Amino acid sequence: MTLLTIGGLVILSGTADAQSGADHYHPLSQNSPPGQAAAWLNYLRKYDPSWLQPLLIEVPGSGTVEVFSGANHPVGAAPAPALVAANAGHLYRLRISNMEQFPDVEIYPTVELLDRLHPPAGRENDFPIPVILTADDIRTALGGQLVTRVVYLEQPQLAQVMDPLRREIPQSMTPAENALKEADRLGRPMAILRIGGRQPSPGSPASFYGTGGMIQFRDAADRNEGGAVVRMKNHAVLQRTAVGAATGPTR
Amino acid sequence: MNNLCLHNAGRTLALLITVTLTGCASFPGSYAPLEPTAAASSEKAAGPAGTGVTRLSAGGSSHAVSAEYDTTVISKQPAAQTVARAEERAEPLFPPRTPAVRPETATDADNPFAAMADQQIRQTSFETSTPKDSGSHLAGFIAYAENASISTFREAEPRLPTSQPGAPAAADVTVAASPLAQAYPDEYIFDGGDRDHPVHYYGDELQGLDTEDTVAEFRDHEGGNHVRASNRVAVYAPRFGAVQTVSGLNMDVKVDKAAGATDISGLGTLEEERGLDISAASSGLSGLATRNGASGVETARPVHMSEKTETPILANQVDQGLEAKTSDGLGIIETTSLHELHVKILEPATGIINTGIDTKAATSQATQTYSTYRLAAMVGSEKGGRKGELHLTKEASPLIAKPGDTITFKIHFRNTGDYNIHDVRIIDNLTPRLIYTDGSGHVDVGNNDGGSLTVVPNREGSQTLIFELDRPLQGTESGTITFEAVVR
Repeated sequence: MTLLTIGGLVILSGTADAQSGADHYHPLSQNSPPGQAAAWLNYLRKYDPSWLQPLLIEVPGSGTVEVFSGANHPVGAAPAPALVAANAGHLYRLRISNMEQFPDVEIYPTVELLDRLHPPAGRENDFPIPVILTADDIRTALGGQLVTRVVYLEQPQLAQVMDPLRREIPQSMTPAENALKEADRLGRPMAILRIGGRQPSPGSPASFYGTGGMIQFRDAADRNEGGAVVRMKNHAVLQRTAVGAATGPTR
Repeated sequence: MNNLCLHNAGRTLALLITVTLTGCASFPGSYAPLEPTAAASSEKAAGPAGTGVTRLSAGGSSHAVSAEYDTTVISKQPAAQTVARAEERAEPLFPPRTPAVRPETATDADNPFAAMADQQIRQTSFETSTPKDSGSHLAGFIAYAENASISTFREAEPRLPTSQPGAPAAADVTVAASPLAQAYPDEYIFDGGDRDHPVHYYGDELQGLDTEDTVAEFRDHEGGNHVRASNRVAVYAPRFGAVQTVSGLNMDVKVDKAAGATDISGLGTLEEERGLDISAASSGLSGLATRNGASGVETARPVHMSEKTETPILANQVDQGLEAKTSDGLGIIETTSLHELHVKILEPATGIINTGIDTKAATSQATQTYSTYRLAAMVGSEKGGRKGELHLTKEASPLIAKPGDTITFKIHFRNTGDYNIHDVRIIDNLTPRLIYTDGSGHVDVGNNDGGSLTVVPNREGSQTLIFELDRPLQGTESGTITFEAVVR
């Protein structure tokens, strides 16, 4: 446990202060067992269990979002986009169904909530962490592959120059690369979304459904319209060398 | 206000103040005892609250003085109630006095308090001054505080609270919607202040202007350039990105092969070793012994030859270098150093001669005269006032925003000195998360349009806004810059 603690401190202790984590040794990656990174952080930071970080779960078109947390029955359900609030430092299992584009399809992605925001009081629901499932994600999962997406809070000094309302393709990396490390370099990792074709079975353990963090469904009426996600297309976008790039991206 | 008077002036002084500003309305010329009659009570009741006490005498005890405080200064009860309280006392606290009689010989011009008779206390500050005439008609006051100076009120100078536009603001102050902005800066967009490298001059060039920086540069009346930073504003506007991988069985196999890149790097190491071998072989080319050996000369010769060939080469190089340096150097030294020496010699010589004369003249002839001139110069500089200084205060509204929202920024600037400052330029290097809204920027100096704006792209994908004032900013003059930016 001591080694784990030291390793975790080295890797994940600095969130807001140490944004350039590229030079650190990263024992964790997107390939770590689901829930491990969140458990480390929860152990180190001792997240306040009374604080619930809002998440905005979007699916292509319309659909139903259900959330499990350590039990084989969902805590609740809401139509997409669903605004739920959850404890940081825990793993949650989702069930996405009734999708307009994918009828008769149910997928069970997981959300590993690594960190939380600190918005001004009363404005928590205005700034949820976006958890977005695209149609390509669904197709990939149905094709037997696993999409692992690390959502991070952008470091302002490394902000990308692009239209904020444009939905870009997420920055893709090869599985050999450490997406968690890259996210740590670009900002503060907030959540890991894993979208695969895994289905629960009657004998699935409780851990399949998450680690038991608190979940609360909230009114999605005041969700963050327009989306706060600005996704990167590739590495080239990071190099803001063009002097005249002030007018916006040239791509 | 009266309470503040007591804090400032003390009890005795406050008594004098009270009498000065209240009793004088009835007794502009002199003090005379007054009977506590109904007429007197009604007169006080008609006056403003807290100003009803007009009874003071030289024989007033300390107890009477405290009663004065209770009924006049500290109490804010209406005057009618004040009178009622005074009348309920078993015995009068103050000796009776006769109605005020204005001396026939006294005029308003002679009475320093007559002009204040109708004035009301409007400010809390005061200053002491000596009355024009402390004659017999002031005997009542002097009995309480002989040799004490008389206090007169004047309006306080307006003071600017720090939150008021144009007030000095510390550059390290951050205005944010939440105090957690310092702890979690990655959730905020900062603008203003002087981030990272301090803005400074390198020669005549302004350097250290990072994104988020908001600084003003100006030239004071002595010609010196200065740079001042504004405070920081923090807008809560987190933005997210994502990094993803797609993995499957086939891709895992490819990843394993890609890991063989380590072997490739090992080959690179071997290449470096080969390079070392090649360099060793090239050094072996100096084995002129084989050629010398072919000439059939003695075996010692190759050694000599090699030594000679190496030595002359080295010697030639060294000699040539030395010769070149010495010859060129000598030539240069002869030409340039002579000039330098000549100049150096001449200048000190001139300087010594001049200063020697000055020193002698100053010390032996007119020391007093010189000191008098310097004193006069100092007085002149004091009259000129404070050196020009520029303070910036930056504001943003709203302080909570989402991508796509428009934020209005205001930069209040103020010359807090007395001298004019010139060539005022206020530069705002926007962070990449902000994009300037075209046409939204303008400069107001004294409610007039007083400047221009130049927008240039910076190297971070945003813009640098340069506001230039059209004219010097006069002492204590202020203005405001307003512009809008969209959150990205």
